[in-house]
Order: sequence, then structure tokens, then C-alpha cells
Amino acid sequence: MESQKISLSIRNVSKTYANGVQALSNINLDIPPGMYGLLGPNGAGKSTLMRTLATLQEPNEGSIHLGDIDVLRQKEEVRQTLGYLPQEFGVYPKVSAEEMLDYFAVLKGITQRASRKEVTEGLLKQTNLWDRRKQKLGGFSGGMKQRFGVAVALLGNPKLLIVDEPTAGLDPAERVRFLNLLSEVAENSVVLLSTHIVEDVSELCTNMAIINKGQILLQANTQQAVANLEGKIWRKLTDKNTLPALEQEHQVISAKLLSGRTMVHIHSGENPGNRFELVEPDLEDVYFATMTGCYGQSQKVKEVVQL
Amino acid sequence: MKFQKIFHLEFTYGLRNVTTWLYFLVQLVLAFLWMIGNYIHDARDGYFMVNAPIVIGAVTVLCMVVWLLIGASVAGDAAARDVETRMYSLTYTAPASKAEYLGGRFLGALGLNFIILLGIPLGLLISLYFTGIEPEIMGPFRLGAYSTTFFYLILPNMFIVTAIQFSLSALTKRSMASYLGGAILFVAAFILGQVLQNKGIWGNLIDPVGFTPIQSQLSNEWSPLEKNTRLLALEGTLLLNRLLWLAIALGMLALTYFRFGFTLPETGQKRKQSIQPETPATSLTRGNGGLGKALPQLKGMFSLATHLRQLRLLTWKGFLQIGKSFTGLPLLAAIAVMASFALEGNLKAKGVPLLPKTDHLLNLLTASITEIDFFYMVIALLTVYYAGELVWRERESGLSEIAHATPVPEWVLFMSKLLALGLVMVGWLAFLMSAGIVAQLVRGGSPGIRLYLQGFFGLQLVDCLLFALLALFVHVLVNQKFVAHLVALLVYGFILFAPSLGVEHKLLVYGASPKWSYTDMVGYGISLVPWLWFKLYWVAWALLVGVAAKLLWVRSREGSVKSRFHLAGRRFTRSTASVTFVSAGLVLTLGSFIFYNTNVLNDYTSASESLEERAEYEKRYRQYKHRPQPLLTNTRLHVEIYPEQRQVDIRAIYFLVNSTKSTIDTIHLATTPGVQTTKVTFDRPATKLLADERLRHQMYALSAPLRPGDSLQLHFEAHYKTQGFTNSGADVSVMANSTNFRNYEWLPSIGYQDYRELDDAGSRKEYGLSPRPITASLYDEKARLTAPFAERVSVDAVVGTNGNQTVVGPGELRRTWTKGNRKYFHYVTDAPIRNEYNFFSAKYAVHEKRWEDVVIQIYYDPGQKENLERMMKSVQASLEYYTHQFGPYPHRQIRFVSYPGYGFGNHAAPINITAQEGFFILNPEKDERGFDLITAVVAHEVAHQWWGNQVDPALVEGSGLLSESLAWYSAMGVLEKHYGPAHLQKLLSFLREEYKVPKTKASVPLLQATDWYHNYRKGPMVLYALSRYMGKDRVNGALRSLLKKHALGKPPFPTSLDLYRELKTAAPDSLQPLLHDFFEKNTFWELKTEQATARQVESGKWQVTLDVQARKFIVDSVGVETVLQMNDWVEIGVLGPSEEGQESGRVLYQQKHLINSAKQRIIVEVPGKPARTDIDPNNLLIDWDMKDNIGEVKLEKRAQ
Repeated sequence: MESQKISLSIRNVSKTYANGVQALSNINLDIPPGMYGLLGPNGAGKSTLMRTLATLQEPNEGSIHLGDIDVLRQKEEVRQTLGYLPQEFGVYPKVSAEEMLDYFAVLKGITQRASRKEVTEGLLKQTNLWDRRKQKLGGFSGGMKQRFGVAVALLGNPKLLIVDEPTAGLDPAERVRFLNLLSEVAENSVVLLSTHIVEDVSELCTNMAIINKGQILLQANTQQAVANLEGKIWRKLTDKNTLPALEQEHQVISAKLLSGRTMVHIHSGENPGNRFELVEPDLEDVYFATMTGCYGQSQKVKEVVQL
Repeated sequence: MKFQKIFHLEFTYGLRNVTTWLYFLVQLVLAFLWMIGNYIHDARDGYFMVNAPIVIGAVTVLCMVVWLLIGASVAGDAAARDVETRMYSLTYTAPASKAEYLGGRFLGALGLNFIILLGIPLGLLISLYFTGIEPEIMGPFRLGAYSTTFFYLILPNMFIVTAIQFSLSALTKRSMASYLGGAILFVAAFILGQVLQNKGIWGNLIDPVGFTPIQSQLSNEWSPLEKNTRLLALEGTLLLNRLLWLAIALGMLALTYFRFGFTLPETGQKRKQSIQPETPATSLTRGNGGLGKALPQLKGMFSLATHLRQLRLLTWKGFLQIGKSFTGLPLLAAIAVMASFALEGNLKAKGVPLLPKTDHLLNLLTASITEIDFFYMVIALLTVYYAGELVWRERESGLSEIAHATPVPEWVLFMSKLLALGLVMVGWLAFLMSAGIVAQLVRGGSPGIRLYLQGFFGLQLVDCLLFALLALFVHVLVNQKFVAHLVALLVYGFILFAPSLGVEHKLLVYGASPKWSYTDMVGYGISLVPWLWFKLYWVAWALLVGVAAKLLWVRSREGSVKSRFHLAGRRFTRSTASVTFVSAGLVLTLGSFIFYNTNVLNDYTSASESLEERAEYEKRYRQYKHRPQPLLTNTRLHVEIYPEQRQVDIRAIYFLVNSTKSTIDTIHLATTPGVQTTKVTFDRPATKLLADERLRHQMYALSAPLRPGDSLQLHFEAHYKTQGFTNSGADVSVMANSTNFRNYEWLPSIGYQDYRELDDAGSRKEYGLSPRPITASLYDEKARLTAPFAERVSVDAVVGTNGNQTVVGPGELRRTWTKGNRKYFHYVTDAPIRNEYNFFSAKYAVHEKRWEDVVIQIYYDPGQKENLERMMKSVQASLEYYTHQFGPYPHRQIRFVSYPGYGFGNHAAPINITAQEGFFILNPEKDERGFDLITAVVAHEVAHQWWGNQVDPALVEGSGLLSESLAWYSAMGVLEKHYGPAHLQKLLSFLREEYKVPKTKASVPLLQATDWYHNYRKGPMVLYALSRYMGKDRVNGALRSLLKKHALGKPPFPTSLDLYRELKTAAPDSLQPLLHDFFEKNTFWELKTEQATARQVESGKWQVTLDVQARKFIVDSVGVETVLQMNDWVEIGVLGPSEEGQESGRVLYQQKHLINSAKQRIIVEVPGKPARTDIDPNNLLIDWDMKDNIGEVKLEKRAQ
């Protein structure tokens, strides 16, 4: 039973806030076990979706199922198998990491003293907080606090792990360590990782979705999505002042500064000429191409991303 | 520019904030309610005009005291919002100077508070000019009344309070600190100010909002004239107060300016710990290889046991959160210590220490949820605060995002908060109990631990928990911390003041119940059963409230009402439904059962209904007031008391005589509430004309009219049976070990009953009754025909009770006998008595002695025998003294009878004098004043057997002079003769201490006075002064003559004028002016020794020269002063130096001198070295400042 894998399905979920902002609009996603990346810019609706999955928010319509569990109605059952690392959270400053983790272990249903000790010890070691376990959480740095959050999320071996922008506050080493942990969890569970950092997804996630303005723009196998762009992405190093002209002529998907000049990527089914050269596409190109409407299911969104 | 922008942003931000307007509204509504709900009634009763300047000031300061507590968020927010919203990283680093930043913020807060406080004058104006107040109680509109209030109270208070609250928040960078500031100022204004209000100017100075001086001016310091006309003026202590507090406020602002830094308070601490950890190289390896260990695979288990463990953990953590903080257990312990110190004052009665008994201490240290008790009010406010902290903890720390997604059911979350708060309350009660035990041990008592545990953890804890649940629920429901604090305060205010707001039934006031009580004599008696039913009912409600809190518990970000109700619907599971169903069922059944008891088995009459009934009674039946009615002369009773069944059956015969000059054809019978009066028959045919059950008036037409001099027998039965309990608890007339009822409470009376009429002008007007004085005028001759229970009756009563109890009744106990398990007592009066008597039945012990042929008995609870001998001796001395001085005692027995309760409960009915248990646990031995209050009070009560029971004054102004004043004057004689002059002096100083002089000199003359000061202090003192001026024998002779004329109790009844006439007859011509000054005018003397010198004229002889000042004036009832020419004989005393251990020295000289000018020099020769002089050393004249009468003698060099 332990190895029984369940998947998450999201059907027609919409959410409009009281102030009229539509955060989610008719979201449909099928999330298989393993790591799943949810990629999108700030304010795209990622956190709203994540909080909805974590039972903290109600959609206006739609349904969500985790295996047999109706997430919206059987909140208690979801919580019993949920790990959630929110984008932002606080801690009790005067409590030590070990004590706080022990507290959460009880909240997550691990009430036997011995099991609790085992679990907290394991997680503190895994998150590299073992040496700091007696320290008060008030003295933790951002990264340490984040790792502590991870430890809490991993308590009770969750079947559904939701991590919202987890790598934002981590240094490179911590980030690697954290992603390693996630991939281990993903062997048996659904791990939903929301991020605006393309590398997080490209390195780990088998499947992914791109969300913007409350809508799913792309839902695909990560490798497949990259492969689909093969032969369609062209680049050119140019001056900044030529950009408006290029935008007139081509589907510019990104333009970034490179040693004082501007590297422009465009999407084109055929050779655009004009000294553009073909490049091997990567996930970033998928992302930008999707965001600019050159790629994906949704209607075209005209937006040039300046980085 | 920057300053302007900062101010502008702060101000407009506040204006957009709903709480600002909420506070404004609260102030407006409070001002309105205080005017309409309180002061308008006082104005109708004639105390002042409703728009008098002082009333406007009083309402303003009352509102401001509330504002101290609720409005603090404005200043706190302005000072610390940046830190709390984490905006500080932007604002603190912006290039604005401290002066601009703080100044702009402070002015913004000031502006907002200004708007909030404008609610007060607005509310006042609305209440005064838009509610149709009758013009009779309105003075002219005076702008000055509003402007002085505004400029001397509102504006300075606004600045002072905002500055202090702002400073505290800015310095601590926590907005809550402003509430602390508000609370401190509240304590200073409302508590310290009130406590110190009689300690010179301190009370007025320490009060930051001017509450204390304004309220005391309103209540009694100013004369009626001043109240209506005098405007507030910036002078005296008010000016000093304003300056002092403005200085404090400015000082705080300056301190804030210098100490404030654009830094965070925690930064220092953070730096220490922010060493970044090294990341081990191993972890950088991608994949699982480097991790060594696998993730723990343990999963949570979910069952009820798990949830209970979660509950235990969460409860404990919540308890630690509240308990460990400074405002938690340490503060509660400090409050308990304070409560223990406060016991010092409460464990005394009239300054006499009480024996420290557990039940009495328990009574003092507990208070129900609805009771206005200082310490429990503080606890209630803390409970609200704790509830807010508990409910908001996760969300304020930011942990909620994680914690709310954990698999813990809502009921566990809510219960854990409730239990945590409950544990804190248990802590408080444990502290309080320890404080009580220590206080008891210190005073030599022996604590009854069992009773303490029952009282604190069985009874008091229930109230604490009920309120804790309510406070939590409000916080959950409102879901806005500070608004919830406010709402909870309002709810608590409603609970406290519900009866004044017209909600009297305890089924409608959360947590309310009749009070339980415990005394030695009856234990909990019958107080516990109604308490328990009401509490069960409220616990059932509490379950419902708990369910609602569970359903509405916020654990998502959804705050809108709609989504919360939607969510609540989802959470309404099967088990929730069954709990709801069961508790709703309980509420209904328990509520119905209580209602059945209070309203069906017993009559439930609200206060307004009872006023209405009284008004209607007057309207319908006053027409019969002067109809001739026969007089009751003889009562024959057969009384069966069943203490366990709480039932009494009475068979009675009244013998009525037509003592009028006309024939009587109709008998008016006034029956009593709470008993069934049945089988009313006459010894001749009669027809019932009317039986008004509601107003309790019956009329019988006699077929053969009763001719003058003829008599008539009236037979009836009265049945009393306690049925369940009432809204105010169970009737305590008949309990298992204490039965105590008065004849007029249960037995019907003949004729129209004056005392049922409404007295106060306001209610008379409201119910459309013609205006009349509260007390009939002294010069109203018709009023002299009535006195309460004045008819003289002989009583013959056979009373049966339980075999193990003793009955006390009026008159002589002729015979007792036993029949089955019942015991019977036959009491017969040996001489007619006033128609007022009690029957008692309890397990009494008796202490008996005699004085001549009078049997003296004290019926007491067997455990309370400390004061019996003392009482007995005083009764003997009193009988001896009064018999010789005034006239014989008409009976051959006199008794003191105990009944349950902690008061003195002294009432002198003929023969039998009552005293509550509290009187028996007095401990005069420990009285530091060396004063024996018991002896004095017993002498006073025995004196009422002459003054009150023989001389029975008419119910008109000045009647207290004939009863209370004469009783104290008589007691003075007993103490002087039988206990020595020193005891008399102690009684005099006790009377001066116990009955304080009023704050205003405005008053009617002594002959017409009705207040305590005149009845209990000025009256006895004036009689004492007369005895010094004209000799005790002459005064007592006058009293003897008064007694002789009125002892038989026939109308017209005596008034103060009769006493005055006797005194005038007895006094020599030279003292007639003094009598006039004492009785007919409200006269004051101001006597002062300016300087006193002495020189030795020969060995052992000294000549003393005194320069004295004298002023004499009268003050009328509105406060107009008229100066009189001084021409009075005043005692002049010269005292030698006081020996060691003596309070005053030897009296070298004491003679009366005629003082007839404002300044006068007096030269006397004394046989010894003088130290002090004293003008009027015995304080015989009415001089409220007695200290300046004394002069220290300056010795001059010998003239040689």
C-alpha cells in the first residue's frame, strides 16, 4: 500500500477574489506522481493554486481530487497526507528548531515519543539543521528557516508535497541540497513545485505547466516541450537600438544583455535570414515562447519579456 | 513639505480606517447614553439641570475614561505601524528627519483623536436637543459650558493621552504599548484617582483626564446652586493638574524624540546569531548518493487518541504562551497579592476587624460574571486580552500558513485555546486562594481548605470558564483583533449592566445566575440549587457557542462572511450536528425548566413592571386613603413552620376596633406578595366587593356597618410555600436551618398602604402621578397622622416547627411543648407593641441573663460566641440607664436574634433585635482605636426600644432625629456612665469618622434633615452639645417629657418639632438663640486660634493670651451663604504639656467665654505651664475644620 501511487487531478478550477481580481481561470491539470513544475511569473496565480491545493483557500468553482480524496470537501483527509511549504511563513522566535519540529510532528499525527524522536532527528539531519537543533528559531537566517520549513513539510511522509517558490531564499548549495531532497520524495509522491526560476524545473521535473494571469498556457512533458521547439529558435547578437525594428519584423521571444550588447531570441518556423543563427532550444526558450504566445495551447499574449 | 506629506498620509490613512469611525461612534453613543440613561433621571429628581455645565463635564470625562482603553490603537498605530507592517525598511531609510517623521505621525494621530473625541460634544448635543427633553429640567443654552469643557478637558486630555500612548509605542516599536499606556492612565484616572479622592489634592492631581475632580464636584462637592451655574475654570487643582500632565506629556515627547532611532529593537540580538552555516560539500552532489540516510518513512496515525494527544500538546503550549509572558501568571500573581492586601479593608466592618473565617474570605474573594467587582473586572479584561493573543498567535507569527494545513481538526484547535485559557484561570484562582489562605493565617484564622477548593475550583471557575469561552468566541467570530477586543468589551459591559439596560431576566444575560452564598449558620443553604440550574443552562449555551466557534474557526485566508459561512456549512458534520442538537435540546429543556421556576411557579416582575404596579395602585386606591378604617388591636396567630419543605401555614384572627367617629361599612384589605391569603371571613356577614389580585387590594362590604367603638373579628389564612426558585435566587425566608419573616411581609394590612407609592420625582412624572416630595414636609399636618406600623397590638402566637429548632417570636414565651416530631412555642406580648415583629426558627443556642425583672436573651449560632458577654453587659447597662433617665421599659424580656448573612443587620423591632452573623464575628479586641463598637451598637439598638418603638415618629422630614439621633445620644450616656468618659470620647470620634461631613454645606436645617450625616452625626452631636451647655439632666428631662406624651403611639405622631419644643421649654433663655442656630437654621461656626502666648506671673501661675477668630454663617439648601453676627458662649480650654504616652496634656482651664466679634483677645490665668489652647475643645459647635481651633502656646520671657 505504501508504494501505491496516486495522482492529482484539477478540473475547471476558477477563483476570483473579492476585489475582482481573477486569480485562477478554468484550470485543468493532471499531475502524476513525481516532480511537477509549475512555472510562471510573479502574480500569475501560482500561490493561489498552491494554497487551494493545501486546503487553505476555496475556489469559486471546480473540483480537485487527490486519488480518491475530494480535496475541497475532505480537507481533513488531505491534510493527513499533505506536506506544504508556503512561499512565506514565520516561526515562533523563542522556540528551538527541535522543539518546534517535535510540535509539528504531533500535529501531523506522529504521537509516539520514540517515533517522533526518530522522525525529527532524521529530518533535522536531512535538512542539515542537526547542529543547530537547539538554537532558537528567531536567530535563524532566511535559508535556515527555509530548510526548517522543508523539514516540517516532509513530516509524516506526505503523499502530496506542495512547495511554493522554495528556492527563492536559498544559496546555491542549499538549493542543490533541497532539490535533491525533493527528488527523493518524488519517488513515491506527487510533488508540486511552483517557481519562477526555469532551472528548477528543467533540472528536476518530468512534467510541467506554465501559468500566467490565472490561465494554464502550457502543460507538457518537460523534455517533449523542449524537443518541440527544435529548429524554431534563432538568435542574434545586436545593438539595443535595433530591437524595435527587429520586433516589427520577427517574433522576438527574449532579449537579454550580453557583454554590453543584446542577445535576441526569436521564434520562427523557417530561417529568418538577417544573420540569425539557429540555436538548440532550452526550457527558457519554451517558457518565453509560451509567454509571448508563440507556443502552447492558449491564445496569443503579446508580451515581450525584458531581462 | 515632507512633514506635511507624512502628516497628510497618516491622517487620511486613519480617516479611511473603519475603526476610527467606530471609535467616533462609540464616543458619540456613550455620551448620548450617559445623558439619557443616567443624568436625565438625576435631573428629573431635581439634583441639577440636565444641561448644567458640570453635567456636560461629567459626561465628557466618563467618555474619556472609556476612550483611554479603546482608542489607544490610533496613537499606537501611528507610532509603530511601520514596524508591524514591515514597511520600516522603506520608511526608516527614507531621507526624512526624526522631527519630520515623528512630528507628522504624532500630529496625524492627534488629528484622528480630535475627530474621535468630537463624538462627545456631538452626542451631548443630540441627546439634549433632539430627544424632546422637557423644558423644566433644561437650563439656558450656554456656549461657555461647552467651550470650557472643550478647552479645559477635551483638548488637553487629547494631547496628554495621545502623547503618552504615542511615546510608549514609538519607543518600544510595538503598537500594543499604547494600550499599556491607556491602561496605566485608566488606572491612574479611574482607580488611583478614586482611591485617593479623599486624600487632599492627590486624587485630583494623579488623574490625567480630570475624572476625579469633576465627578466629586458633581456628586457632592458643589452646592446645587454651583452645579447649575458654575463653569469649569482653570484654577486651583484643575490648573495644576493640567500643567502637571502637560509637562509629563511634553517630557515623554521629548524623550521619544531623543531616544527614537530609525532602527529595529531586535537588530542587536540578530547580529549575534546570524553566522551563516557552512554547507557541507557532500550535499552538493546531485542525486541520492551523498545523503547517507534515507528520509524517514513514518506516517501519521489518525484516531481520537491522536487528536487528544494533539489537544494536550496544543493546550499546554497555549498555556505556556500566555502564562510565561509578563502579562500572564506573574501579573495574575501580582493581582492576587493586591487582592490579598485589599482584604485588609474588607475584613473590617465600620473599622472593626472581623474574625478571619474561611466562608467570609471566600465571599470576599469570589464574584460572579455579572458582578461589578474590581479584581474580577480586571481579570475579565485580561481574559479578553489573553483570548486575542491565543486566537491570533499563529497568524501573527506567520506560522499559520504551515500550521493551518496540518491535520488537526478545528475542534481540537478551539478546545486547546479554551483549555489553555482555562488553565490560566486555574492559575489565577490558585494564586488567589493562596493569597486568601495567607491573609487568613496572618490574622490567626484556620483555613478551611475543603471550602476554599469548592468555592474557587467548583463555583468560581465555572464563571471564569464561561467568560473565557465567550471571549474566545468573539475573537473567532469578529476575526479582527482590535475590533474583537472592543466587541468583547461591549459584550462584557452588557453583561455587567444588563439590568440597568432593562434586561433583567437571567435567562437573557450570558453566564448570569443568582448568587451562591455560604455562611456558618446555613452553609450554602438554598443558594446552590438555582445557581446550578442557571449554570447548567449556560453551559449548554456554551456548548452551542463552542460549536459555532468551531464552525467559524479561521484557518484559511478566506475572511469574507460568505465564504466563512460556506465553509461552516462544509464543517457541519454528523458529529457536529449531534452535539448541536443535544446542546440546543439542553438549552431548551433547561431554559424551560428555569422559566417554569422563575415565571410560572413564582411571579416574575421586572423592575419597570413593579414600578408600574405601584403607580397603578396609587392611581386606583389612593381615593380610599382617608376613608375611616378600623384599627388593629389584637392579633392571634397559629403558625406552622416546615423548614425542610420550606413551607409556612398561618391561621390568624385580627381584632379590629372602630376607633373613629364615623360608622364603617367597607373594609379595605391589602394583601402581600408571595403568599396566598385565603379564607377571609368576618364575624359578621360581609360580601367581597373587589379582589384585585395583581395590585393586591381587596374590599369587603359589611352587611351591618361597624359603629364607633364597636369591634370586629377578621379571620384569614396565609400560606407560604417556596416553589422552586426565582430569577433572583431562592427566597431565603424559610430555609432548613433558618426561618425569618416579618408580620407585614406575609400578613395582610388594613386600609390603603402609603409605602407602596412611588417616591422619586422622576418615576412619578414618568407614570403620570402628581409631584410630591419624597418625604412629606415637616409642616404637613395631615402627614403626622401616619407612621409605619404605628398601631399598638397585642400578639398571641402559637408557633410550631421542627423538633430540633427553636422559635423566637414577640413577647413572653409562655409555654413550649412537643407533639410528635414537632415542637411548639406559645408567645404572648405582655404589653402592646408596634405592629412590627419577626418570627425566627433555627438551631439556636441561647445566652441568658437578667436585669431586674427583665430577661435578656441572645439567640446565636452555636459557633459564634465571642461577643456574647460584651453584648449582655451592654444590654444590662443600657436598660439600667434608659429606665432611670427616660422611663420604664414596657416589657419583661429583650432579645438579640441572629440570622444568616455577613452584614450587621441590626434592626430593633419591639423586644426582639436582629443581628446578622457578621455582627457576631466582629473582633473589637483587635480594634486599634481601642473602641468597643459592639457595646456602643448594642446600646444604640436597645435605645430604639424607647426611641422608635415607644416614641414612634411620624413619617415626615426630620424623623431620623427622633429615632437615630436620640438612640446615639442615649448610647453616649450609657458609655459615659457605665464605661467612663474615655469611651464616650471614642464613640464621638467614631461617629465623626464613620459619618463623614458632606462635601457641600448646602442643606436644610436639622429639623427637616433626612440624610445620614444629620441623623447619625449632627443630630447626636447637637444633643450632646446641648447636654454640655444646659446640663444633661435638663436635656434628658426634655426627652422624658417627650416620651411621656407619645409613648402610647396614638396619632398625631411626634415630629422633630415636638422634640424641639421640649428642648426649648427645658432650656434657659440665654440658650434659646443657640437652639435656634442648631435646629432651625443650617448654621456653621468657623473658630480659629490665631496665636496664643503665655507668661509666668508668679510661681505656678501663668497668664495666657489668646487671639481668636470667629465667623458664623448660615447656608441654605441651595448653597447661599449668609453671615451672622457672632454672639455665642464658646468653651476655651488650656492644656498643659502632654506627658509621655498621653495624647494630650492636663486640662488647666476650661470655661465658656462670650465671643461676640470676629477677632477677640482672651486673657486667662492658669495654674501650670500651658502648652496648647483650644477654642471649643469638645467641638460642640458645628465647625467642620477642627484642626485650626488649636493653638500652640508661645512662652514669653518672664516680665521682671
